[in-house]
Order: sequence, then structure tokens, then C-alpha cells
Amino acid sequence: VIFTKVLVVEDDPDIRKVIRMSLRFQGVTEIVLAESGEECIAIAADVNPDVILMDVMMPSMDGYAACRRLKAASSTSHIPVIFLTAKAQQFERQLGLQAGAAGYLIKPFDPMTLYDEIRRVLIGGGAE
Amino acid sequence: VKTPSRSGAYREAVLVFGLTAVALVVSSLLFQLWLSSGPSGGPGPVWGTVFAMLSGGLILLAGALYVRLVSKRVRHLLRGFEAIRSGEYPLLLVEGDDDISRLVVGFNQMVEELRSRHERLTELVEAREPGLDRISRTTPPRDGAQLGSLLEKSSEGLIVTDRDGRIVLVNEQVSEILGLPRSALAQVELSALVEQVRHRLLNPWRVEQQLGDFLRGAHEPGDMVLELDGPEGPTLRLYSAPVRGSDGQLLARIVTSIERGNEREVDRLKTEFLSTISHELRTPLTSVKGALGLIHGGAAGTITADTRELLEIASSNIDRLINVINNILDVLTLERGQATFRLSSMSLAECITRAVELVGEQAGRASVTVETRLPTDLARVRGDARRVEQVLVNLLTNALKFSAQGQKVVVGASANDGTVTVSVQDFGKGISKEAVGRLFQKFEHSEEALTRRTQGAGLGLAICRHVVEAHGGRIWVESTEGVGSTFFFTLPAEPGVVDPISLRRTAERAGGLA
Repeated sequence: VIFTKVLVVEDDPDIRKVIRMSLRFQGVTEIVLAESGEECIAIAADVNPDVILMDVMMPSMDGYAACRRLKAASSTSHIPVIFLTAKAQQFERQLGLQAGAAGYLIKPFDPMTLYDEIRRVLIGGGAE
Repeated sequence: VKTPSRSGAYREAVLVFGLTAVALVVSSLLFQLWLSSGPSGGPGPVWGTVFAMLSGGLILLAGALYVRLVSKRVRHLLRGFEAIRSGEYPLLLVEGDDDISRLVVGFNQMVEELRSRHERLTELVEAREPGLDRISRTTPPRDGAQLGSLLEKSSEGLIVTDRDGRIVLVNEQVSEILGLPRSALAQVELSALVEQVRHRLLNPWRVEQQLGDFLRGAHEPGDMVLELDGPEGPTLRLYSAPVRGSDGQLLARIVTSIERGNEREVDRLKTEFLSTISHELRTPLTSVKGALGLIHGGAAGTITADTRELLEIASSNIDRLINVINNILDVLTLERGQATFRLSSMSLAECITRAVELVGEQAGRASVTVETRLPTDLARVRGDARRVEQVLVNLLTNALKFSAQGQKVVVGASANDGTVTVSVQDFGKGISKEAVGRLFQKFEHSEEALTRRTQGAGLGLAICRHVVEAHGGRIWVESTEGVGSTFFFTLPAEPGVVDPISLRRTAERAGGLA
């Protein structure tokens, strides 16, 4: 599995930058940034990324709600969503997977292996 | 009390001396008769004999009567002493004015004296009764009924079981909190009592895990929390204490319960607070770790060796911080029984080897050798491999922390009676007796750890305890100050399953490491 276009949904600007640099350094050519769940839903169909990397704790609409909305819409339901979140508890992972996510990655993450982690999830190597 | 009278004594004395006097008068008359009756004017032989016999008999009779009288009065006095001995204060009849009478008078005076002293003492005791009452409250009442009503009135729930865990006494408070009639509680096993409320438990799984230890721990007190009827229901914290005879044998077990009102709410807020704090810490750490990782990985251009070394220091300390946060969350999850365990048949030997490998770097830095001593026929165990590894890594990390350079840490395992016991032994300074009891509580350190300023938030052992207990095992430590500590934990063995292949491999790899 090779993915080249990623939509990153993250409200923290520093983490957005780190994710962007990390993915770019590891060969992802197209990285689109969104600052909120709403923004993600607004642009997801147009961007049509290979994968959406989504934070959970965001103001107004959280990642779970955004994921459910994406999965409910026919234009975006095919896009795999992977949560990248500081919410590391077991039941929170369950919530994420119930919302229709393909996987659940935990912050803090290793920027040098983020690409591989995403790839592993997309292959179906695991939800964690 | 008899009224003293003198008439009887007089009568008897008069009788005795009267008879003696009569005898003397008669004998003197007979003597005169004898003198004047002889044929030749002298006394005849027959009258002489009659006189001697009669006077002798009369004197004997008088003597016998006197002795009888004296002994009767002495016996009377003796009965008086007997009465005193049995707790009475008798006054005796005073007869006559002789020595015996004076003795009786003295006796009566003594009795009066004794009685008045007793009365004075009684008054004194009564005057000090409030104090006595206080004393009697702090000493256990001997009266069974009194004890029973004391326990019944206790505001704490109280259950007493016999050594087999069967309830022999339960008070009203327990039946009230649990909402169960007394009849449902009497003479049942404590485990059956828990079973009766099982469907109302918020955390039945966790209670089941704890119950075994709670009942089994004959040598140590235990505690267990029962959360009943959803988030708003009562919460009971049960404390179990073994009661042992002078020979150390378990006689009974006392279980007291304290109903907790808002503690559950406090617990929930605590969890929420720590969860939020943990999230708020993770977010900035994500940026820091990410930025450092990118520089270290060359994403921002080539770096010098010194920069690399500095970045590695920063990164490893960030990882340490993340580890603490993870442990806090882990303890909270485990405590609330929210962690899920995937139990399956697993090779303990392989798990030990993996854990030893994981701490290899730390061991190298500390110049401590980790030695693995496993039997070749170690049984497989039933467990969550990831969690068992976590326990081993925690115990090994601790052991390494408290070892000096050049010392070794020994990991061992042995199977016995369906249980596998794993041991992690160090030869460090050991842990004081006082610290041992608290060691498995969260945020607890041995004093040793505090004085040496070793790292860790004191969560590792609390996690170990929760994980081991969730497996139905036990964890404990044996430590001697100045000699070292050995941590033990048990896991249920897979019945009849030995894993020789993985063991052989494990033994080889462990040998290589050691």
C-alpha cells in the first residue's frame, strides 16, 4: 500500500507542523491541513485523500463525530480515517473504532515511524 | 441475726453446780449416817460402799454435763466462722458471762466490724461508678448478650466468619446496606453473600478477582470494594482481618464495612481530572517529541555528533515523562476494572526472556547482570502476555534500580499445585518492614527509593498488583534490609501443559544473556 495524499485534521498548530514535516520527510507528496472537524467535512470530498489522519479532542465537533459524518456520506465513506490522539484509554479506542475508524494511533508518536504506522493500519496490520 | 440472751447459759450453769452441790450435801448426810449407825457405834461396811459409789457417780454426772455444755457452745462459735466464710455476717447468742461467752462477744464485735467495712467499701465503689463504667467500656464485655447488642448497635457493618469463611455473626447495618434480610445472611459463606449481590455490582469482574485473596489471605488483612446498584448506589468498602489463636491458627475472620457516600463521586472526578491532565500533558509532549525526533532523524538537515547526543538525552527524558503519564492512566483503568485482559495459554519462559531483553539496555548501563534460572519443564500459564510482560519489566526495572554496580538480578520460576510462581531477586539494600506493607499502593515508594531519588512515580508496583490479581494471582515481596529483596507473583498454570520446545529455546537465549 502506497499512499501519497493525506488530509490531516488537527487543532494544535505545532502538532500540525510536526505531522506535516514528518510525512513529507517520509515521502508523502500531498498533505492537506484542516483545523477542525467541520473544516474536514467541508473539504474531504473535494480533496479525496488516500487517508484522513484525525485528532479526537477538538473544539465544537470532536473527531468521533466528524468520523461518523464522513462515514455516513457516500462521497467520503470510502476514505479510511485513522485517529491520532492523546486519548489513550481502552474505552476511547473502542469509541474510535465504533465511529468507523480504520485505526487508532496514540500521541505522542515517533515522527520517524509515523508513515509506517499509517501504512500498517491501512494494510490491516492492526488497529493500534 | 440472733438476739443475745443470758437465760439458757444460767440455767445450765445452775443445773451443773446445783447437782454438784446436791451430791456434796447427800454424801455428807450419808457420811454422818454412817458415823452414827454402827452396832458398836462405828460405821457399817455397806453404808460406806453406798456412800462412795453415790458421791462418785454424782460428780461424774456433773462433769459430763459441763463438758457437753462447753463443747456445744464451741460448736456454735465454729458454725459462726463457717457462715462468715460463706459471705454472711452472723451475730451469735451470748450465753452467760464466762470465757466462752466473752469469746462469742468478741466474735460478734468482729462480725460487726467486718460488716461496716464492707458497707464503707461498697459506698466508695458506688461513688466512683462513672469511672468504673468507662473502664468496663474499654475492656471487652464478658457477657455474651451485652457483646451482641454492642455489635448490633454499631454504625459500621460487621460480619464475623469462622475459619472456613462461613458467616457466624452479622449485624443490622450489613443487612440494611445490602438490602438483604438477616435470614439470607446467617450461616452462609462470605462468597455466597457476594454472589447474592453479584447482579447489582458495578464491577463484578473485579470483585471476583479480589474475593479469592480477600478470603484466602489468612495472614494478612485485605480490603475489597463493592459498588452496588449503578453510579448512584451505595459503595461498601470491606476490610477483612484474620483472628488468630495464641498458636497462630486462624480462628475466625472479622469483616467490617464502611459505607461510602460521595467517595465514588470523588473517585470519578479524580479519574476525570487525571485523564484531562494526562491529555493536556500529552499534547505539548507530542510537539516536543515530534520536533526532536525530526531533527534527530535528519528531517531538518545533518546534525553533529554532539547535537545528536543532546537530542538523545532530551528524547529519552521525554519518553520517561510519557511513561509516567501512561502509568497513571494505566493504574486508573486497572483500578476501575476497565482494563480488558486477553487471557490465553502463553509461554511464561518466552515472556521472561522478552522482558529480560527489554531491560537489557538498562542493565548494561547499570553494570548489573540479569540471570534467568528456569526449570526445563515449566508449565505454560494462562495470561495476557502483554500484561505479564509489563509486570516482569516493572519488577526487573525496580530490581535494576536498587542494584549496585557489579551485582546481579535473578529471575526464577517454579510450578506447584496448578500455580506458577515467578521470582525477581535483587541483592540491593532491601526494604524496611514498614515500607513493605505499603509498597503495592499507588504513589508509594520504599524510603530507599526516595532517598536515592530514583525515578518513577511509584505506580509500577500498583500496576503489577492489579495485573497479577486480574489473573487470579498473588504478588508479594520478601525483603531483608542489607541483603536484598525478592518479589514473587503467581499465575495460574495451564493444566498439564508443558512447553519444552519454547523452554529449551528460552533457556539457551537466557543463558546467552546471563
